[in-house]
Amino acid sequence: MKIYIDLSTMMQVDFISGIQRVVREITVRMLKHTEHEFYLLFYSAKNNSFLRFSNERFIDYFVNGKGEKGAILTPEKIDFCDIPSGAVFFELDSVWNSPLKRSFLFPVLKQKGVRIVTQVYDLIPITDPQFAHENTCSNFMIYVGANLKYADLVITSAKTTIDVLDSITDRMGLERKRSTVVGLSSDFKKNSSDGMVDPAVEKIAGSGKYLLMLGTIEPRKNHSLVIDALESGLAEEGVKVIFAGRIGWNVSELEKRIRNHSLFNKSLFFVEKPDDVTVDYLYKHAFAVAFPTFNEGFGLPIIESFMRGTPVIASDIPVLHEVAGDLADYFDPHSKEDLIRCVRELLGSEEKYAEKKERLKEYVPYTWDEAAEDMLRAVISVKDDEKSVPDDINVKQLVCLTARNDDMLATLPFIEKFMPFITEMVLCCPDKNVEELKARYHGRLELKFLTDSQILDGKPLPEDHSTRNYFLRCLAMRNPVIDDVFIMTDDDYRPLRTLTVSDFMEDGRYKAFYCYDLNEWRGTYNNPTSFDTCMRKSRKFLRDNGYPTMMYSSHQMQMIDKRIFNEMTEKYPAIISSGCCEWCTYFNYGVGTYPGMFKPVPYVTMGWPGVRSDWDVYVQPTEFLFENHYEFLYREGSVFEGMRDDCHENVVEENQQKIMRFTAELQKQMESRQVYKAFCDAYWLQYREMPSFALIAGNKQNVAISAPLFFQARYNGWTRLPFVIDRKIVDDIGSQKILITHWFADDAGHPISPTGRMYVDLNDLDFLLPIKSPDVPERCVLNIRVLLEDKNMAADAALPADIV
Amino acid sequence: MKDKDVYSAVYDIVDENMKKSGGKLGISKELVLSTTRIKPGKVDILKLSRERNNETFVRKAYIFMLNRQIDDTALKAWKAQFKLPPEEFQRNVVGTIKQSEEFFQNQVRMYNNIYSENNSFGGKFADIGRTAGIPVSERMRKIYGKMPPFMKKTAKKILGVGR
Repeated sequence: MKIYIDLSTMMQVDFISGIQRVVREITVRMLKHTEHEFYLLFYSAKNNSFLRFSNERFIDYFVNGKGEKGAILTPEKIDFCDIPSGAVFFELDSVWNSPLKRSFLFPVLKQKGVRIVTQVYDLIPITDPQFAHENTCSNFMIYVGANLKYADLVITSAKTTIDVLDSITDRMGLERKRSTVVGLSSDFKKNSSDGMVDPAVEKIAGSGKYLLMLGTIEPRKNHSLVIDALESGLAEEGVKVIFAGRIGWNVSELEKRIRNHSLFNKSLFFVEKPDDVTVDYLYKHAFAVAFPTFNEGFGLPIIESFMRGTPVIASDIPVLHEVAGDLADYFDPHSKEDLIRCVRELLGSEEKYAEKKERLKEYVPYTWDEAAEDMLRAVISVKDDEKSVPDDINVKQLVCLTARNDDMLATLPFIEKFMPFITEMVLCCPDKNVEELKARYHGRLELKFLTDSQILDGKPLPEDHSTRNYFLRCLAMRNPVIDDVFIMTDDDYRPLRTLTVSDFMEDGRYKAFYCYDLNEWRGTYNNPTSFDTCMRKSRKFLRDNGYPTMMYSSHQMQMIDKRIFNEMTEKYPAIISSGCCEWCTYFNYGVGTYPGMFKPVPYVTMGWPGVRSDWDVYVQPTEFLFENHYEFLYREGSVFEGMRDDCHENVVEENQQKIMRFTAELQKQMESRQVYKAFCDAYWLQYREMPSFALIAGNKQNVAISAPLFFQARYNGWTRLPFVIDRKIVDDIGSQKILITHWFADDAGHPISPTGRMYVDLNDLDFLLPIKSPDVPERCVLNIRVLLEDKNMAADAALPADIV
Repeated sequence: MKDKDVYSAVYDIVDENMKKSGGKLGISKELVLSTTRIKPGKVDILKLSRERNNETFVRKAYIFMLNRQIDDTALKAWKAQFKLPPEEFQRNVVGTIKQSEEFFQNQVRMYNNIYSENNSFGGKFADIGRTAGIPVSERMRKIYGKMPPFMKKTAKKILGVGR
């Protein structure tokens, strides 16, 4: 299994304590499990992606003490969307303050069917926000919210934390999170005997019985109560108090109280930032460890104290009972009297104290090895409930919705030739098409027909193209003629070479070929086609119901499990007549519900997009298995000019040539994008801002174009400029008709390119402006003019343009 | 439940718990919800500029540009400028943060910086919208179109338009 762990926080802090210690101990042990692939990650703001740590150097540094921390990082870049389907993203570190908000990251991971497992140390900023820094508190809300929505499994170190989590989900009306408890350990025992203890500390510790409070000085730890108890009698009884830790947040008053106290350095001591050796010494020599905390996720000092045979007096709160059981004595953390009582009970009976110490000799701590094993087992268990594809599937059927006999008949020979495992073809078509298809087809495939009247069974056929298609497919899917698992296609999707079932399945999962992210899909701006509308409806359905939103209408054949399709339409009956996309809804439902059955992979279709100006490529196919057949691509001047589009004897060789030509076309598009990206990076380095275009409104009901100082693009290419229209132009100025024109001109102002024109869609004011560069490299001027046609207002920008 | 509703519900719980403890959350729900929409490494100044309350703007600017809440010292310093018109205040905030080492280290990409001095309309005018995009009637535009190049150049120079 591939397991990804973001260790950015641990690697950035200059001290190791608390959570960072847990992260370190668990990670180094998990790495021993070479049967899994571990990817230790660092979020790089510069690259806006993860960089990978070297596992070997990580162990060398943290286990063997070799090398430097900075050298652990490698240049290997891992984009968020590179984390593959089937992997687990294990959230072990305290990442809530990371600039990479989980509200952004988790939905991206879920798009690909990545499982999320989170170690929740505590929920204190939620239950007791008064004890958290405001910054932490707000970041923690987002972190918890993202986990409540997206985590597949929550691991906590105490059952109490699960109870709190359940109470939160219950209150919100959410389904309870799957959760499990894995305890924590302590690492002092093995390595703290080396080194010297500070003589000053030895002197303090040797001067009599002392209560030790170990940990960061912060309000939640309730140090004040111990000082109160000291003032109210304990000092007179000869008890001393040692606070050991570092100064935390919001304790300036407490720090003053400690340092200015009349008992300071007499009965009250503060050992700041003690090293491991000192901590070990203080634990071993303490009369008891006091733990008056108001709230905890676990309470490591209890374990550390028990391991050294030192009694503990602790707050009477559930989580500490869970950790310490009957080995500790408890007091009310709001009552100094109760704390004094507790201490006096220990002081009052030497016999009882000795008995307590004797019992602690039997204490067997939970080790880090055990904790790491249990945690790894929990992480892996996230896939236990995953449904998998049955082993015995027999795919022999192709199902196609068609109303075009000529197209269908032209495509069938390709299927016969390149898909030997297909023996049946189910054609869902209008009744009138059947006879002609039967009469004209004489190939090896057994044709089965599901006519509109058979499918509809009296139901009216929707008028809109997309709505009709989805409606028909949903109903057809319930017909027994269609196998449980089959390959769905359209009449113009043609295989390019011999295919086998393994082209549709990988690692025992159905491949789900995506071509875009629906959130990024712009379609035909301001003139949406039926297809675009269908994509928008699908995005809304998927978002509203919490499913991923990848675009699977990749214009190629894909394998379908109709049981899952039917499950979806039964769960969401209204979807049948909603006009959504069958591919997008089915695969996103599948990936979201059964990640173990689906493997999202980039699409493999040639001819989608048909031409470069259609839309910008989101994911580049690495191979082509299908052609989305557009007749216009074979016309003069088009990419397949001079080639045949039928299934002739040399079709294999010709398909290779087609692939080469289409790849070259695609490459031009990618180059245009690379040039623009390089320009953006250089611009940012120079000016600390990105080149961007906006039409903005001033205070005096006027408009202007905010644009970069210059522009760079590849010749004869399409560049899509992010363009924003200030909402005030529509809302305040009231323009309803905004026209953007653009053209390139030479130095003398003569146009050297046709003028591009585009009206702004008032429902989408943040869009991409496609600009076609001049045909040859040259220095020129990019002119942009925006007209508010109904307001008789305009704005211009003229940018020196370097066409390279 | 939609993402926004989840974050909103979590905020309500925290807010309630804070009130129970006798305190008050120093961050508004709107600010927390806007933080959930942060795309790492990106800030859109035009969108940010829609905030017309100077205090909220500076709080948002710190979160979006520096990935953290404003600290007390900085807030105290900016308070002195809260009475400025929003455009002027926003220009000062964006300009100051942009020049900071912290912003550079955070590597946040700034988009649509309408207060920039490095874009095509120069940012040298007090009010946005009075520069390259001078509102020009179509009649004026036609007259301009018929001008010889040297006159066009002079006209542009006078109006402070273009390059």
